[in-house]
Amino acid sequence: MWILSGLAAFCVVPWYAIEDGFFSFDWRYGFPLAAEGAPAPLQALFHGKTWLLPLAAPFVAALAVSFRPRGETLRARVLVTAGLLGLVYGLAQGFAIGPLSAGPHQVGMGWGALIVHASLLLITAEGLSTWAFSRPDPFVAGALVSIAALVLLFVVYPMGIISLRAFETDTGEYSALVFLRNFTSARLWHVTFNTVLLGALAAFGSTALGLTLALSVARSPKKWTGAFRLFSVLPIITPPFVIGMALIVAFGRAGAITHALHLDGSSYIYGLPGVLLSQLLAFSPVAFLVLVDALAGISPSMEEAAQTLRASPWLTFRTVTLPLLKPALANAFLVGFIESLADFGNPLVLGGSGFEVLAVEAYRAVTGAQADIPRAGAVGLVLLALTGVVFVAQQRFVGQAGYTTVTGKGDSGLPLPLPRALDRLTLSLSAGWTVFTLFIYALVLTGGFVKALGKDNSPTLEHFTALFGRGGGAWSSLFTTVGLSLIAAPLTAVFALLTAWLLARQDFRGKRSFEFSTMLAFAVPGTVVGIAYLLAFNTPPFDLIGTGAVLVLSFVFRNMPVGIRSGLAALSQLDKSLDEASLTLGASTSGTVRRVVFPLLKPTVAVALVYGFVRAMTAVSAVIFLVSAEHNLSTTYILAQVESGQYGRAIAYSCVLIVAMLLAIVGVQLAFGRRNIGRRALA
Amino acid sequence: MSAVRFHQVSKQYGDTVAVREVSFDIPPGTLVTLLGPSGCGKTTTLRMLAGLELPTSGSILIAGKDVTRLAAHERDVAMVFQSYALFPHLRVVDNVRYGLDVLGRDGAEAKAGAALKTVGLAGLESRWPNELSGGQQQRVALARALVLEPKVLLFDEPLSNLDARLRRRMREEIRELQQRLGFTAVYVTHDQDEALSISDRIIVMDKSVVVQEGTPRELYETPKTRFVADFMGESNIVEAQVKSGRIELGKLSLPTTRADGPVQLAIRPHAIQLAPGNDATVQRATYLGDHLEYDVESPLGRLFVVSHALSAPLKAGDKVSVTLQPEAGGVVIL
Repeated sequence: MWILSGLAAFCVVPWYAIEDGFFSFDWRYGFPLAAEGAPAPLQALFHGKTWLLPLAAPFVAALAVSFRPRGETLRARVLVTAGLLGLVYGLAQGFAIGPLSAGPHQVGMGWGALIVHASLLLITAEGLSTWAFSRPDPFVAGALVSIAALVLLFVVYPMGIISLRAFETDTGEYSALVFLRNFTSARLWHVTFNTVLLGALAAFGSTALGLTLALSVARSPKKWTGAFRLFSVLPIITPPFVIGMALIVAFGRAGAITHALHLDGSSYIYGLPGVLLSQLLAFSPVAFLVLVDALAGISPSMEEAAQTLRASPWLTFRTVTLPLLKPALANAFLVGFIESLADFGNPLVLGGSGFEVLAVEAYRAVTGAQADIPRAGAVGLVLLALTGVVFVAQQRFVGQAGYTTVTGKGDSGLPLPLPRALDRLTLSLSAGWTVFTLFIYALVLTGGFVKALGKDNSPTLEHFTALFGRGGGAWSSLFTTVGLSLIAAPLTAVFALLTAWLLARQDFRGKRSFEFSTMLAFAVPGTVVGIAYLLAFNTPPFDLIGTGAVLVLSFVFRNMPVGIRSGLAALSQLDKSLDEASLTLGASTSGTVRRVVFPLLKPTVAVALVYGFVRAMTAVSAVIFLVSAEHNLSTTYILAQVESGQYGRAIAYSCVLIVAMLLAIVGVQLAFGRRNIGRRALA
Repeated sequence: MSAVRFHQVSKQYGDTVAVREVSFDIPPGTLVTLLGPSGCGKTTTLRMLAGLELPTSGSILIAGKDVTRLAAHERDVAMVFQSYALFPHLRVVDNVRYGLDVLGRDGAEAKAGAALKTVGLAGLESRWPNELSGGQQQRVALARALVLEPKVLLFDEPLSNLDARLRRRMREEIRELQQRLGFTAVYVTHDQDEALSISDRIIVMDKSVVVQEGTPRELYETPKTRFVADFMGESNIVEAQVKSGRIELGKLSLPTTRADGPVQLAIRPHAIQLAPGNDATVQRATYLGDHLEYDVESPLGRLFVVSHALSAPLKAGDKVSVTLQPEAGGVVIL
């Protein structure tokens, strides 16, 4: 089947990318003869692109063996060889003959090339499934090879490019000197120091605050602590720099609080304190979510055991509960640190000139007067290295030990109430922090509806009319953002859950490195991803910059890892014998995934969809490098408002975004509902 | 033709061998049990038959057809899982007709209803799996497998999640059903009582290999190794000497064809009789309602004894004499 689709695409679908964008269908006007829209054979015949013709060969070879019985070694070998050779040739010609080559030249690949290469990939997979895999299953092989290829192309390849470009000289050659010059500059080290300091403080602070909140919610008997849980979702649907902006509105030189305190003109909020505060507000809910689940996962009988062994509540907390939380604490710290490294909006808004961090530095290197790509590359490499160090440290610290396992067995014990002093401390801290957070959010909301918060508090809708009224420029960015997010969310969910399923349920060689490379895009700060995409995909054969496709791709591969993690967690709670029962009852692997696995993962699908959507809507650090005039996004639009001091408009637009995301979340919840049957039935 | 044939089948995970060169034949219409301690390779063997694992070497035939490289869904088998593996998002009837729907067979509704009736669950079609008791869930799992009328029905420790009483009833029901419908079944268990009570033949596995195969009676009465003797009901293993064609052990004298020299005997706990005397001492006495269990320190070594002499209980410290009753597999030469 792949053979025929590939051959058809080769013969009929336009080979090259169309100027008007990847999703444009304007090529029908010149089809099939014009240079723009012609498929490969006609390109060869009429436009001298003869080097495309050999790509038909692998399909012919594959066709020749396709009628032989499945499972035959000869057939498998021919398929693998033909597929691989085709891919290698296809990519080689793409790279070798660029738009600026002397003599023949070509532009980036389009739909025809895409389908041809995808088909070659699947032909290879079909062959591999009977040859190299322990289990002859074309579905598994196809899914695995496709995802691996996509990850290679959109995660590993751009990372390789960014590393390479850090060594490039002005004349396009590569030299270690360039890297050394950038790498040894005092400024870079100063900025790196700032970044690490901020990251450590933010990670430590958000973990501590997250723990406080988690303890209040999970262990305090007070009913109203449930409210903490609700508010913890707020920051997740908030565009990343909105909190920074709110802080400016409240505490800035002309902020409401500053004014009330008669400190006008003072800039105490700018620099480290402000950035740190905004990051704490943004990241502690994430730490909270990590820790509250871990706390709930600690079997109460362990704490009860400690108590029957004569440990006081305080001693139990110190010697049992906290050590059991260690992996989760390390995880929360890691997430906080990486988020802080990657955070771009808050430092840009609040850092001022005195406090630069790497993410902003990279942005300035690219957008500055002389676009200094090698410098951006070097900054990206430093960020990458920092992330790697923390990642390795966390792995070392936590090791393979996951203590908090939820078994199917009923655990009837009661969680231990906190020692009284600790209980009071966590409750009052949590309450204080919650009130502060709510205050900031209230500020954001009112800021959109008054003339200039703090100075002129008369209510107005002028910010909204300026954005969305006649001549307002915000509609197009809003539509683009929602549209692209709607495309990205289901793709993210499907890829993530399929990957999780492959990791959880299938055995294959190279599983570890496969898993690692899918996680890479998450560990890499968004800024680096943005730069890497900019460098990797702005020239043929992958000429994607300026299209909506590159934005969707960056969303999908940035947000996939979280979906993978939640998919893995959900699958580990799903009895493997359910899959096996379906298989022994005659369902194929793909049928099993469709009929049993996905229906049972419905809540996870919903989570992955919501997450994919929300993250796409609020993304800024990566997309700031990738947006174009045609595809401007809400977040970059808001950022532009902030940079020109239009806080009211920025806030108003943020409100609209938040409402849009809430609508989407409610919509997904309605569409997917709850899984109608509890897992307990199986125990 | 055998319903199932394993020929020199091995399974390796990296360096560990899970199953080593296992060969056996299963005649059609029989229920054969794979019995052994956990980790002996019995479940791996069953899963290779189901197609859930692929053997590293060797070949597997189902009804004469080589299925070694076929995926699970391409084989004519059905399996009942230890955890039942009922699909929680499907109602009982939809669970049962799942296989028929997947295969696109006609009359799924009627066949599923009939299968549920066979296992005694008519009327529960529209329940959800979590609304059923453990025994009922097990029956649904059985009906779901039966409805496909597979060449071979596989059971992976199907009763281990049930309580003792229900376990006994379910195993009788499975056996009765198997005899009535005449299907071929392969049954994995680590419970020797279960194996003895339902099997036509038993294949005992230990440390990745088949150690002995036979009818329940053969295995109980003539175990070939100490392991089998010990695993098929408890045994006291005693060292003895062969002298000119006879084994002399206390007052017991048994004829044998073995050459002179040391030999091991397996003595069943019920083949030992205790009478008042003074060559042995009761170390521990346990009352179990319908029988008594004793640990006895004797010249033959420490012996485990089961007695049904409820009217004359002994207590720890009593002096006794030990007599062996060699008939009906009570004493076996290993």
